[in-house]
Amino acid sequence: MNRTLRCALSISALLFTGTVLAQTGTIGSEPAAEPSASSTELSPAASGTETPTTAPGTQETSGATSPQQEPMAEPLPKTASPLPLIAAVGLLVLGSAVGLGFLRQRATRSRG
Amino acid sequence: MRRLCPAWPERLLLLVASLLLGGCAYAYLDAGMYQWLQGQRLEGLLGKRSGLAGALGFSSSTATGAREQAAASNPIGRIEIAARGVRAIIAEGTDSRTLRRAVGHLPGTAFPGERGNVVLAGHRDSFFRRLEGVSPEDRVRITTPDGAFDYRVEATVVVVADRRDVLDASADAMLTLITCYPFGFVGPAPERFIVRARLVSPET
Repeated sequence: MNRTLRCALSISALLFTGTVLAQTGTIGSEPAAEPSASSTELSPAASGTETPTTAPGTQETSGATSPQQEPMAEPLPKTASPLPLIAAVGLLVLGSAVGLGFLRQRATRSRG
Repeated sequence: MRRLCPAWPERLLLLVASLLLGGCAYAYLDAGMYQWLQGQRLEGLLGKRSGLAGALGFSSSTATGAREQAAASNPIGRIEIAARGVRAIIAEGTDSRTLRRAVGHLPGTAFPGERGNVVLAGHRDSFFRRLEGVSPEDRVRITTPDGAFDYRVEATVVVVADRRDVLDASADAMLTLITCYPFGFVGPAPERFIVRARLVSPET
Protein backbone atom coordinates (compact mmCIF):
# COMPACT_ATOMS: atom_id res chain seq x y z
CA MET A 1 0.00 0.00 0.00
CA ASN A 2 2.69 2.40 1.04
CA ARG A 3 4.78 1.49 -1.96
CA THR A 4 1.89 2.06 -4.32
CA LEU A 5 1.16 5.38 -2.69
CA ARG A 6 4.75 6.52 -3.00
CA CYS A 7 5.01 5.39 -6.58
CA ALA A 8 1.79 7.22 -7.44
CA LEU A 9 3.05 10.31 -5.63
CA SER A 10 6.36 10.32 -7.44
CA ILE A 11 4.74 9.72 -10.82
CA SER A 12 2.33 12.59 -10.16
CA ALA A 13 5.22 14.84 -9.21
CA LEU A 14 7.09 13.93 -12.37
CA LEU A 15 4.03 14.48 -14.52
CA PHE A 16 3.48 17.87 -12.92
CA THR A 17 7.10 18.77 -13.50
CA GLY A 18 6.91 17.74 -17.12
CA THR A 19 3.74 19.70 -17.65
CA VAL A 20 5.16 22.84 -16.15
CA LEU A 21 8.35 22.48 -18.15
CA ALA A 22 6.31 22.08 -21.29
CA GLN A 23 4.52 25.29 -20.37
CA THR A 24 7.78 27.11 -19.87
CA GLY A 25 8.82 25.96 -23.32
CA THR A 26 5.98 27.99 -24.74
CA ILE A 27 7.24 31.17 -23.16
CA GLY A 28 9.42 31.94 -26.11
CA SER A 29 6.57 31.34 -28.52
CA GLU A 30 3.86 33.69 -27.47
CA PRO A 31 1.34 34.21 -30.24
CA ALA A 32 2.97 36.78 -32.45
CA ALA A 33 0.87 39.63 -33.67
CA GLU A 34 0.23 39.55 -37.36
CA PRO A 35 2.28 42.08 -39.26
CA SER A 36 0.35 45.21 -40.06
CA ALA A 37 -0.09 45.64 -43.77
CA SER A 38 -0.17 49.41 -43.82
CA SER A 39 1.84 50.68 -40.92
CA THR A 40 2.64 50.04 -37.28
CA GLU A 41 0.30 52.75 -36.03
CA LEU A 42 -2.60 51.49 -33.98
CA SER A 43 -5.35 53.54 -32.53
CA PRO A 44 -5.59 53.41 -28.74
CA ALA A 45 -9.18 52.28 -28.97
CA ALA A 46 -8.20 49.23 -30.98
CA SER A 47 -5.25 48.35 -28.88
CA GLY A 48 -6.88 46.99 -25.74
CA THR A 49 -5.95 48.03 -22.24
CA GLU A 50 -3.97 51.14 -21.65
CA THR A 51 -3.13 52.72 -18.34
CA PRO A 52 -1.11 55.85 -18.94
CA THR A 53 0.72 57.65 -16.18
CA THR A 54 1.89 60.91 -17.63
CA ALA A 55 3.91 63.64 -16.04
CA PRO A 56 2.04 66.88 -15.45
CA GLY A 57 2.53 69.22 -18.32
CA THR A 58 3.90 66.57 -20.63
CA GLN A 59 2.38 64.79 -23.51
CA GLU A 60 3.08 61.45 -25.09
CA THR A 61 5.19 61.86 -28.16
CA SER A 62 3.70 61.43 -31.56
CA GLY A 63 4.62 58.46 -33.70
CA ALA A 64 6.06 60.44 -36.60
CA THR A 65 8.43 58.28 -38.57
CA SER A 66 12.03 59.40 -38.59
CA PRO A 67 13.83 59.16 -41.90
CA GLN A 68 16.57 57.18 -40.10
CA GLN A 69 14.24 54.31 -39.33
CA GLU A 70 12.20 51.95 -41.41
CA PRO A 71 8.84 50.69 -40.24
CA MET A 72 9.18 47.34 -38.50
CA ALA A 73 6.95 44.33 -38.67
CA GLU A 74 8.30 42.88 -35.44
CA PRO A 75 6.08 42.21 -32.43
CA LEU A 76 7.05 43.55 -29.05
CA PRO A 77 10.08 41.76 -27.59
CA LYS A 78 9.31 38.78 -25.40
CA THR A 79 10.44 39.88 -21.97
CA ALA A 80 9.16 36.98 -19.90
CA SER A 81 11.92 34.93 -18.33
CA PRO A 82 11.21 31.25 -17.59
CA LEU A 83 13.78 31.15 -14.78
CA PRO A 84 11.47 32.03 -11.86
CA LEU A 85 9.02 29.34 -12.91
CA ILE A 86 11.79 26.76 -13.34
CA ALA A 87 13.21 27.70 -9.94
CA ALA A 88 9.78 27.36 -8.33
CA VAL A 89 9.29 23.93 -9.88
CA GLY A 90 12.77 22.92 -8.80
CA LEU A 91 12.02 23.88 -5.21
CA LEU A 92 8.72 22.01 -5.38
CA VAL A 93 10.44 18.87 -6.63
CA LEU A 94 13.12 19.23 -3.98
CA GLY A 95 10.44 19.51 -1.34
CA SER A 96 8.74 16.39 -2.70
CA ALA A 97 12.03 14.49 -2.54
CA VAL A 98 12.61 15.54 1.04
CA GLY A 99 9.04 14.63 1.95
CA LEU A 100 9.36 11.24 0.33
CA GLY A 101 12.60 10.61 2.15
CA PHE A 102 10.97 11.51 5.46
CA LEU A 103 8.05 9.17 4.77
CA ARG A 104 10.38 6.39 3.75
CA GLN A 105 12.46 6.70 6.90
CA ARG A 106 9.37 6.73 9.08
CA ALA A 107 7.97 3.66 7.36
CA THR A 108 11.29 1.89 7.72
CA ARG A 109 11.43 2.67 11.43
CA SER A 110 7.85 1.57 12.06
CA ARG A 111 8.50 -1.74 10.36
CA GLY A 112 11.87 -2.26 11.91
CA MET B 1 11.71 -4.14 3.70
CA ARG B 2 13.70 -2.45 0.99
CA ARG B 3 11.14 -3.53 -1.59
CA LEU B 4 8.35 -1.90 0.40
CA CYS B 5 10.19 1.42 0.70
CA PRO B 6 12.14 1.98 -2.52
CA ALA B 7 14.57 4.84 -2.55
CA TRP B 8 14.53 5.46 -6.29
CA PRO B 9 11.59 7.91 -6.40
CA GLU B 10 13.33 10.10 -3.86
CA ARG B 11 16.61 9.93 -5.74
CA LEU B 12 14.93 10.63 -9.03
CA LEU B 13 13.20 13.68 -7.61
CA LEU B 14 16.47 14.88 -6.13
CA LEU B 15 18.10 14.52 -9.53
CA VAL B 16 15.32 16.46 -11.27
CA ALA B 17 15.45 19.19 -8.60
CA SER B 18 19.22 19.42 -8.96
CA LEU B 19 18.95 19.81 -12.71
CA LEU B 20 16.27 22.49 -12.48
CA LEU B 21 17.90 24.50 -9.72
CA GLY B 22 21.35 24.01 -11.21
CA GLY B 23 20.10 25.31 -14.54
CA CYS B 24 18.71 28.41 -12.85
CA ALA B 25 21.90 28.97 -10.89
CA TYR B 26 23.94 28.65 -14.08
CA ALA B 27 21.73 31.16 -15.89
CA TYR B 28 22.03 33.72 -13.09
CA LEU B 29 25.78 33.19 -12.78
CA ASP B 30 26.21 33.46 -16.53
CA ALA B 31 24.28 36.75 -16.58
CA GLY B 32 26.30 38.09 -13.66
CA MET B 33 29.59 37.16 -15.29
CA TYR B 34 28.51 38.69 -18.59
CA GLN B 35 27.51 41.93 -16.89
CA TRP B 36 30.79 42.11 -14.99
CA LEU B 37 33.04 41.27 -17.93
CA GLN B 38 31.28 43.52 -20.40
CA GLY B 39 31.13 46.30 -17.82
CA GLN B 40 34.91 46.12 -17.51
CA ARG B 41 35.22 46.08 -21.27
CA LEU B 42 32.97 49.11 -21.62
CA GLU B 43 34.94 51.00 -19.00
CA GLY B 44 38.12 50.30 -20.93
CA LEU B 45 36.52 51.46 -24.15
CA LEU B 46 35.25 54.64 -22.51
CA GLY B 47 38.69 55.30 -21.09
CA LYS B 48 40.25 55.05 -24.53
CA ARG B 49 37.66 57.30 -26.10
CA SER B 50 37.70 59.91 -23.37
CA GLY B 51 41.01 61.19 -24.75
CA LEU B 52 39.17 62.11 -27.92
CA ALA B 53 36.18 63.50 -26.09
CA GLY B 54 37.19 67.11 -26.36
CA ALA B 55 37.94 66.92 -30.06
CA LEU B 56 34.78 64.99 -30.88
CA GLY B 57 32.51 66.73 -28.43
CA PHE B 58 31.88 63.27 -26.91
CA SER B 59 28.51 63.11 -28.51
CA SER B 60 27.29 62.83 -32.01
CA SER B 61 23.99 62.77 -33.83
CA THR B 62 24.99 59.49 -35.43
CA ALA B 63 26.02 56.91 -32.87
CA THR B 64 28.99 55.56 -34.77
CA GLY B 65 30.66 54.01 -31.75
CA ALA B 66 27.53 52.18 -30.62
CA ARG B 67 26.83 51.04 -34.16
CA GLU B 68 30.36 49.69 -34.48
CA GLN B 69 29.95 47.77 -31.25
CA ALA B 70 26.60 46.37 -32.33
CA ALA B 71 28.02 45.32 -35.70
CA ALA B 72 30.80 43.47 -33.87
CA SER B 73 28.25 41.77 -31.59
CA ASN B 74 29.64 43.66 -28.62
CA PRO B 75 27.59 45.42 -25.95
CA ILE B 76 26.66 48.92 -27.03
CA GLY B 77 26.56 50.60 -23.66
CA ARG B 78 25.07 50.77 -20.20
CA ILE B 79 21.71 51.94 -18.88
CA GLU B 80 21.39 53.47 -15.44
CA ILE B 81 18.38 54.77 -13.55
CA ALA B 82 20.01 56.00 -10.39
CA ALA B 83 16.74 56.77 -8.62
CA ARG B 84 15.59 53.16 -8.99
CA GLY B 85 18.85 51.30 -8.75
CA VAL B 86 18.70 50.03 -12.32
CA ARG B 87 22.11 49.44 -13.89
CA ALA B 88 22.75 47.01 -16.73
CA ILE B 89 24.77 46.46 -19.86
CA ILE B 90 22.95 46.92 -23.16
CA ALA B 91 23.52 44.34 -25.89
CA GLU B 92 22.26 44.29 -29.45
CA GLY B 93 19.21 42.09 -30.06
CA THR B 94 16.16 40.93 -28.18
CA ASP B 95 16.49 37.16 -28.50
CA SER B 96 16.12 35.05 -25.37
CA ARG B 97 19.87 34.56 -24.85
CA THR B 98 20.58 38.28 -25.10
CA LEU B 99 17.75 39.21 -22.75
CA ARG B 100 18.90 36.60 -20.25
CA ARG B 101 22.30 38.25 -20.04
CA ALA B 102 21.61 41.94 -20.65
CA VAL B 103 19.14 44.62 -21.61
CA GLY B 104 18.49 44.26 -25.34
CA HIS B 105 18.50 46.99 -27.97
CA LEU B 106 15.85 46.31 -30.59
CA PRO B 107 17.56 46.08 -33.99
CA GLY B 108 16.29 48.63 -36.49
CA THR B 109 15.57 51.29 -33.90
CA ALA B 110 17.70 54.34 -33.25
CA PHE B 111 20.86 54.13 -31.15
CA PRO B 112 21.28 56.14 -27.95
CA GLY B 113 21.92 59.78 -28.67
CA GLU B 114 20.40 59.67 -32.13
CA ARG B 115 17.16 61.25 -33.21
CA GLY B 116 14.42 58.66 -33.31
CA ASN B 117 13.07 56.05 -30.97
CA VAL B 118 15.64 54.01 -29.03
CA VAL B 119 13.90 50.80 -27.95
CA LEU B 120 15.38 48.75 -25.11
CA ALA B 121 13.82 45.58 -23.69
CA GLY B 122 14.61 43.71 -20.49
CA HIS B 123 13.27 40.97 -18.27
CA ARG B 124 10.97 42.16 -15.52
CA ASP B 125 12.49 39.66 -13.08
CA SER B 126 16.10 40.66 -13.57
CA PHE B 127 17.43 43.90 -15.05
CA PHE B 128 14.11 45.73 -15.27
CA ARG B 129 12.70 44.42 -11.98
CA ARG B 130 12.83 47.88 -10.44
CA LEU B 131 11.32 49.57 -13.44
CA GLU B 132 7.94 49.22 -11.76
CA GLY B 133 8.72 52.11 -9.46
CA VAL B 134 9.88 54.49 -12.15
CA SER B 135 7.99 57.74 -12.29
CA PRO B 136 7.84 60.79 -14.54
CA GLU B 137 10.84 63.10 -14.18
CA ASP B 138 13.19 60.22 -13.32
CA ARG B 139 16.46 60.40 -15.23
CA VAL B 140 17.72 57.56 -17.38
CA ARG B 141 21.40 57.70 -18.33
CA ILE B 142 22.75 55.68 -21.22
CA THR B 143 26.50 55.53 -21.61
CA THR B 144 27.90 54.33 -24.91
CA PRO B 145 31.24 54.75 -26.70
CA ASP B 146 29.65 57.91 -28.18
CA GLY B 147 29.11 59.52 -24.79
CA ALA B 148 26.63 59.76 -21.96
CA PHE B 149 23.03 60.58 -22.81
CA ASP B 150 20.45 61.64 -20.27
CA TYR B 151 16.77 60.98 -20.86
CA ARG B 152 13.91 62.26 -18.72
CA VAL B 153 10.96 59.93 -18.16
CA GLU B 154 7.77 61.43 -19.53
CA ALA B 155 5.26 58.65 -19.15
CA THR B 156 4.69 55.03 -18.25
CA VAL B 157 2.03 53.03 -20.04
CA VAL B 158 0.70 49.49 -19.75
CA VAL B 159 -0.29 48.04 -23.11
CA VAL B 160 -1.26 44.67 -24.50
CA ALA B 161 1.58 42.55 -25.84
CA ASP B 162 0.83 43.18 -29.51
CA ARG B 163 0.89 46.98 -29.31
CA ARG B 164 3.66 47.56 -31.81
CA ASP B 165 3.06 51.26 -32.19
CA VAL B 166 5.30 51.83 -29.18
CA LEU B 167 8.15 50.80 -31.48
CA ASP B 168 7.35 53.51 -33.98
CA ALA B 169 10.06 55.92 -34.98
CA SER B 170 9.82 59.47 -33.74
CA ALA B 171 11.07 62.80 -34.98
CA ASP B 172 12.57 63.60 -31.57
CA ALA B 173 15.24 61.71 -29.67
CA MET B 174 13.14 59.36 -27.55
CA LEU B 175 13.80 56.31 -25.42
CA THR B 176 11.33 53.46 -24.96
CA LEU B 177 11.89 50.82 -22.30
CA ILE B 178 9.85 47.63 -22.52
CA THR B 179 9.31 44.89 -19.99
CA CYS B 180 6.55 42.45 -19.13
CA TYR B 181 3.56 43.34 -16.99
CA PRO B 182 2.29 42.48 -14.38
CA PHE B 183 5.63 42.37 -12.61
CA GLY B 184 4.60 39.55 -10.27
CA PHE B 185 3.22 37.37 -13.05
CA VAL B 186 4.81 33.92 -13.44
CA GLY B 187 5.02 32.82 -17.06
CA PRO B 188 4.28 34.67 -20.28
CA ALA B 189 2.72 37.95 -19.18
CA PRO B 190 -0.19 39.25 -21.23
CA GLU B 191 0.84 42.91 -21.13
CA ARG B 192 3.87 45.13 -21.47
CA PHE B 193 5.07 47.96 -19.25
CA ILE B 194 6.34 50.82 -21.36
CA VAL B 195 8.49 53.72 -20.19
CA ARG B 196 8.81 56.69 -22.52
CA ALA B 197 11.63 59.16 -22.01
CA ARG B 198 12.99 62.13 -23.93
CA LEU B 199 16.63 63.03 -24.48
CA VAL B 200 17.51 66.09 -22.44
CA SER B 201 21.29 66.07 -22.45
CA PRO B 202 23.11 66.49 -24.69
CA GLU B 203 20.47 67.99 -26.93
CA THR B 204 20.49 66.79 -30.51
